[in-house]
Amino acid sequence: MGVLFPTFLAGAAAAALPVVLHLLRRWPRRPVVFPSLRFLSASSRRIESLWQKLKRWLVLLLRCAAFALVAVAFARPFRSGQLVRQSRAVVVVVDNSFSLQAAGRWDLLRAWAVARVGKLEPGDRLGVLLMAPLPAWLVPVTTQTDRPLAELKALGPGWLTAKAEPALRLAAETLEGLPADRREIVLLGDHQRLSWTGADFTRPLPPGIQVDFPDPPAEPARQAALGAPALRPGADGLVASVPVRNFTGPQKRILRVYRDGAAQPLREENLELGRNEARTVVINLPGGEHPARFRFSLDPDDLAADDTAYAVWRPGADGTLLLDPAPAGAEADFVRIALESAAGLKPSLKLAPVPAGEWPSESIAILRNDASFGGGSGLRLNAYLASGGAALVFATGGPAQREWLKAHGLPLTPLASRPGDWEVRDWALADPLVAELGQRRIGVLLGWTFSRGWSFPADAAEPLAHWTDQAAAIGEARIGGGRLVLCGFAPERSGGDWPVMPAFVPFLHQTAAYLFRSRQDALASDQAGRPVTLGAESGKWRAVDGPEAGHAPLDADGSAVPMAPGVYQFTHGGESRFFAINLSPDESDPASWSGGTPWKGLVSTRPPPPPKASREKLAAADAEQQAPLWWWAIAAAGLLILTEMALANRTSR
Amino acid sequence: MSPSSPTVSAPLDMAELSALTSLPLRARCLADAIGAGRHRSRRRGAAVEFADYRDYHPGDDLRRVDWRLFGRTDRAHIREAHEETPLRVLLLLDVSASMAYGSKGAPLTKLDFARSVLAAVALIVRRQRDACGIGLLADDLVAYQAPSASPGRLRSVWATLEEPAKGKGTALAAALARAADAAPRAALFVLASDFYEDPEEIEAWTRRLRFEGHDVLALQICDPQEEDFSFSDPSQFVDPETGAQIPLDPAVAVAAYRQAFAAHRERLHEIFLHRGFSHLALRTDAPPLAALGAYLARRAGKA
Repeated sequence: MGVLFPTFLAGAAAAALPVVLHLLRRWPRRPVVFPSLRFLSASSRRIESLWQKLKRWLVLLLRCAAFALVAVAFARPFRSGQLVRQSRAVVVVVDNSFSLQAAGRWDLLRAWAVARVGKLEPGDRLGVLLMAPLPAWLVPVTTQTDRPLAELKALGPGWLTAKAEPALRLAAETLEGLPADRREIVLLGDHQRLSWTGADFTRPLPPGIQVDFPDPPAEPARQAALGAPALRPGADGLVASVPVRNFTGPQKRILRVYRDGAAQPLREENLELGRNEARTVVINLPGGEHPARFRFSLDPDDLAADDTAYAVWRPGADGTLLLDPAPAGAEADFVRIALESAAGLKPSLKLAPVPAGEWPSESIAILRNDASFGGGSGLRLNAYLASGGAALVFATGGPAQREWLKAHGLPLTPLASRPGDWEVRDWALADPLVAELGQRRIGVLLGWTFSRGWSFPADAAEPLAHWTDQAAAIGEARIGGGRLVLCGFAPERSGGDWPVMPAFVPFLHQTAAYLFRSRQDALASDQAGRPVTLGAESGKWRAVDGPEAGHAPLDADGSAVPMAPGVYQFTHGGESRFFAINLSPDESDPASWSGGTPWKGLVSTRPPPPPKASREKLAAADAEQQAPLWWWAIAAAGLLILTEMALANRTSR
Repeated sequence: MSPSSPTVSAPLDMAELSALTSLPLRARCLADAIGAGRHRSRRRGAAVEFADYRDYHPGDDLRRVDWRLFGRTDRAHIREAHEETPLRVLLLLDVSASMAYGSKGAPLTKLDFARSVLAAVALIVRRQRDACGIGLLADDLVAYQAPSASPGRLRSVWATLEEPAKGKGTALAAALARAADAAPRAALFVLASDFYEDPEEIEAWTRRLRFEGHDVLALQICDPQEEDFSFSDPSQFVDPETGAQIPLDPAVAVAAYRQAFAAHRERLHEIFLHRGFSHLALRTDAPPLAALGAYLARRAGKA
């Protein structure tokens, strides 16, 4: 038997109080008025009956015991025998990536993990830690072991990708601080190569942490995966590009395309996949005039999770360019003229004025008017970029534009006057946009001279070209969820002859096409476990297709993190937008780590440090919490007080 | 006036009686429960109800000669009848500190109980159109009203009983002597007290009253705890009159106490009976109806 706070035992000295009172007040002093004292014999004075003597000593004993018990209760006693038993603290680290969905893998590994946890005694601890998307406790380590065990048994594999090392280290650090004699980690994982990639096996976990690793499971015999499909306008509708990758031997698969949740497939393709072949299947699809959502499904294999991919089509993504009006007093609207002249080029682009209301995020905006950046128009531009929009901005030097750009970390600095013109040069040829511009004729990138222009900090945007003094002249920046290509010059002849140069039309057309492709790629790159930018509005977010379809809508504000693939709908006011969420293609590779079992090096071979005093105290506190003897002490003291009240001298009239 | 036998006409609950805060109400309640009638005088005179014949003596009123008897016996006899005379009742209440005692289970203190009983007696006396007076006894005769048959006397007696002066010590014998000095001849003393006095002093007082032709109804009031002494815990027992304290374990003293208390009561009973007086022992937790009713019945028969 031990106590947590021995100091309180000194309070037992208060038991001396009733003893002192007993000695000082041997006879009750409480007066009882009684008129016929004349009949009481004086010889009876101060003579106690035997029962009274017994009762008085019994009451004294009860009082002393009550004081002592209260002192003991405050000292928080515990049975020290509980500390002798080897207590366990176990954390089950769960690889909840979707590779665990491979046939039979999850049930097998979970049963193994439950068996490794084994029978837990009172005082033992158990917690469940999930690997993905970041290490997070499903159930923190607790002495109430029933709950984590029940949660583990009810848990299923997820849809994300996972890394084992961060979760193992978090579990080990947690266990290190717990008062236990045995600290164990049970890894519920499939040793997929991806889960160990980047792990530092040379840095062991803290000493004294034992880790149970399962054997790598058998790899699937038949496994292929679909990547995120891309939709583009085609000659007679839409063209879908669906990446397909085979991770096993040659196999024949059927790819079916479903539209808007229909049960019957819209298209069906027979695929013959070679060993480890990766290809992109191009499928022509009807429609394109209206929003549509597509599901691409392979017939199921041993890992069915990645046999389905999703795509959405938004009509605005068919090449609509939002063009704001030319600045007042401009010599001519060179941009409009150039874009109209490029109508015959591929991809074809359609011009539309900047709307007075919300700007459709599927379109591309070309802005060169100062009025487009001020007041309500500036706010609409913010919302447009926040929801993933893209814009080509020409610097005009107007106050509203400069203010807006400065607020977004792109302050414009006017070019100093110099004897000759300023030249745009030193193009970043590795950049996709620049590469595409110079791909056909390098001369397009030459001879860009301006008599006036603006530069911006090179660290605020990725420079695509520079001025003569190496300041950034053209750059690409990410603002919110959107993309911005900023040109430090105006498309007007007052600044130079660039609007009438041969490079003008290709630049406008290629930049707009590049921004469209970037937008499409961004839409297709939404993955489970990653935040999706919805804009600043608040609305409802729900899955309309995929594993989570049918769940109750959630409130979303600005962004949402889908935890499973599918098509999701974001409803704001009366409008709704669809988002296709697909799985990470890396997780589809079922290959286990092939370089032996380096993870065993994570287990430290050093002896665990001796238990610290604080740890012993924690263990004592834990033992005390397991069996709260103080409560019994208080209850016993209360019982003694009640008995004392019944027995003590309570003289009535 | 025809006499009627006093009977107990209705049961009485002491809790209900104690709930009545008005002394007149208590008195009426008690008196109605006792249901006493009028009494007859012990003196004889010229009245309607025949008592006896005696020889005619010169000087007697010729109107009192029974001429029918004279016709039959040829001797003149005077017809005597019971004379209805007012009874002079003097209520004496002991208001010493010991009378203020009331134990936890008793519905009334001894003083309240005595006040109720005496108030009821006063009402009965008034109903019989007899004279009634009152005296309060402590260490002296602290208040006194001579017996009177006037209608207002009952109210003044009740008023005196309502708020009696409370004495501190006890000198019952001296106070009784003062009351005997003040009382008219041939009065009925109704004395309510706990009689915590030397019995020999009481005997001397009764001897004097007997000599002076008085009658006495002694009501010895006691609390149940005084009779039973059922305390359980050792305590400091304090005398309310003297302030004396006795540390005592009741379990040790109870037997001797009960014996001494009973002896004292028995001695008082002997003293009063020896002089031809009445002595009633009343407990504050029991209605006084039976004892008082029996007394009044005896008294009606005696008269």
